Amino acid sequence: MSCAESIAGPVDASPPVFARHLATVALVGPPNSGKTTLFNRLTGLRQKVANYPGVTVERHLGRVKAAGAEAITLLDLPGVYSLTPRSEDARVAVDVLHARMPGTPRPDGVMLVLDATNLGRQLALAAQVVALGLPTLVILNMADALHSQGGHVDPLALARELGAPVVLASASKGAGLAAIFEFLTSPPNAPAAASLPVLQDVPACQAWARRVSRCGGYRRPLPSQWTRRLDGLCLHRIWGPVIFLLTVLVVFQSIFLVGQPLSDMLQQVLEKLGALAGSQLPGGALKSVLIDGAWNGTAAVLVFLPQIMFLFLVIGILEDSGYLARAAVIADRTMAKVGLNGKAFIPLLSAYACAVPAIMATRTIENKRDRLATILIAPFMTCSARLPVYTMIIAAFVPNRPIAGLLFGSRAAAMLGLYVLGFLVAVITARALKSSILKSADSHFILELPPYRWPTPVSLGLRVLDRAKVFAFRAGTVILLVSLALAILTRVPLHRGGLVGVQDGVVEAAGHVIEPVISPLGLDWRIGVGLVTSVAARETIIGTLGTLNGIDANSRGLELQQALRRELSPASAVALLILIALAMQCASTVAIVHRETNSWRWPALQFVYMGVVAYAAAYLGHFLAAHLLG
Amino acid sequence: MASRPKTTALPDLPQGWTAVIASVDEALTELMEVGFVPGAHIRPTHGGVGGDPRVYEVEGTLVALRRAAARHVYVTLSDEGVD
Repeated sequence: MSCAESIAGPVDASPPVFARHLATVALVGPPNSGKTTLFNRLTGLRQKVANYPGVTVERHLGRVKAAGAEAITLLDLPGVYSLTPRSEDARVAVDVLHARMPGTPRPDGVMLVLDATNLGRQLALAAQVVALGLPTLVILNMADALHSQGGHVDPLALARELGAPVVLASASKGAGLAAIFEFLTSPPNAPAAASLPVLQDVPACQAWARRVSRCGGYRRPLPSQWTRRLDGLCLHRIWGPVIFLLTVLVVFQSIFLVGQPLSDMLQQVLEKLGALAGSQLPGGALKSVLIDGAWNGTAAVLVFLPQIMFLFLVIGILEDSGYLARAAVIADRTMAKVGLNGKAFIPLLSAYACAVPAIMATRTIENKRDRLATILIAPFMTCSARLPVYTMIIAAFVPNRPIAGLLFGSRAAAMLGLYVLGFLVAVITARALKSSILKSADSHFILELPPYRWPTPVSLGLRVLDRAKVFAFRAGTVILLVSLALAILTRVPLHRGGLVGVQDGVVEAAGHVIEPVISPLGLDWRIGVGLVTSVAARETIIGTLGTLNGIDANSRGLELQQALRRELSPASAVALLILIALAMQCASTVAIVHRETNSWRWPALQFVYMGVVAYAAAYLGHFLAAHLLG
Repeated sequence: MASRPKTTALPDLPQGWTAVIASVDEALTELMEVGFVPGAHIRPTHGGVGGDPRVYEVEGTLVALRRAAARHVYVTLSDEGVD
């Protein structure tokens, strides 16, 4: 097969018929092509994120921030290797491109973003995009890396083959943007490729891609020496796992060392704000409902925001630098043992900070069943909301005795035991799920390892902001509503007249209703009330128990510990700890699981399952502890 | 000296050897999309403990594969042999 004749003239000469304006332009490209970096570069903060209707794929929409092009909407489609609708991502991309996606305008132009350092097989996607018949610009991204590593491409010759203009660009450095703006403001005609393969025939498309790449004078750059050297370490038989463990440790530690103080600071600010707002309100029922109930409940969740943002910053650095893919390779062998895939490890690690960002981070797992299994086990990991509850109960019941000298005390051992408990239940659940309802025959682990790159601050910043918004608005609104509902319910009197405290409200009645259920665990109605209110968020149990005992939990924690010792036997304290460790007491998690699975079935199943497991384990724990502790 | 081409399953290709892909199970289109197509040059570059998953360099791209997927790829040892 020969190359297209050059007498066709440079494609740049195919003039815009008239200065039509594009209204909606889709960005299409394979994963790791720098498509999102370009999208961020072109739209900046003028972007909106939402879900496509009926699926869990996110829709990224933005307005172009350049004079003369402000009216143009950019659509950042999910990264796909081909437009064969196999994965949910690809199906969404195809539906959008064919105007079959309700609520999303049909793109009238396409920008195909390809990684210039890895053009060969990516050109197969070009055949499918060009065949759409929409005005198309082919952007060879990372052209700077192509040239610095001795690669070569002739954009004009490539443009002749594809029948569409081709520009060299570098989204991270901002090169080539002028040509992109020109395409947006005066788009060319629909492309006319020299020849196209049968699109359904993958080998034929690959052969076509090889020919086009040869005709385009493409020479692959030498593999980056840096990538080669770093992989020599990061994928090394011995050093690989060592570096992996060190990375996990650093991520884990930094969440607590850096994220925790930030969260504490925010907590103080939020408390002051609440007090300030409270002083402006007239006293009585309204203030009590709004400030003590709704505001404090919401603030208890919002304080996790800095930790979550920090976590996403760290994950973002790992992902954009290219290390995350290596970590997934290292983790895969271990994860395979519980039927999961290496990509599940970052979400599960994040779940030690908070299950909400963890569940959002499962998007990187393509296999739907693996992703669901990861979502379902993530809340078993010991999140930071459990820590204050653990700390209080352990401080009240476990005497501080050294076990291994100064290094390790009995309290730390109890804490570690609870971490291990959550982890073990997660592992058992994963195995059970993957060998039953979420069994997948062809769970292939196929993962492309991108070259190592410096993460760009703009992309990192935008991503952190984006995730923070999702957390604050999605989880935050649910929490606000639940807190408000609880605040009202705890203050609605059942018998005595007038608005009263928790003791006499509907929630007290709820406490009595569930008392028969929890009394086998040695827990009374007070703890019942605490458990009911902590369905919204675990840590609220501390405040509730404080209120029930007439003790301000924040300032007089020791008195609360004494009160707990009066109310609970050591065995029932064990039961309570197990309940906190294993039950799904987090409205934000339920909300985010609903959002990510786009159904109420999975969060409902998860809620019931975790509740049953928690109760059974607490019962067993209570029984054993009662016999062992006497 | 060109020897007779020897075809083997991908997991049996020794570390560091270069081969040419002879065939890929048609059902594994996702494998073809990351570059595992007949005619492509392939070289195992890294194998973890136990060699599963293993990292391959295919026409300049690094791809990690579990043995279960690699079994569906057959390669012909090229004359270059060890590099």
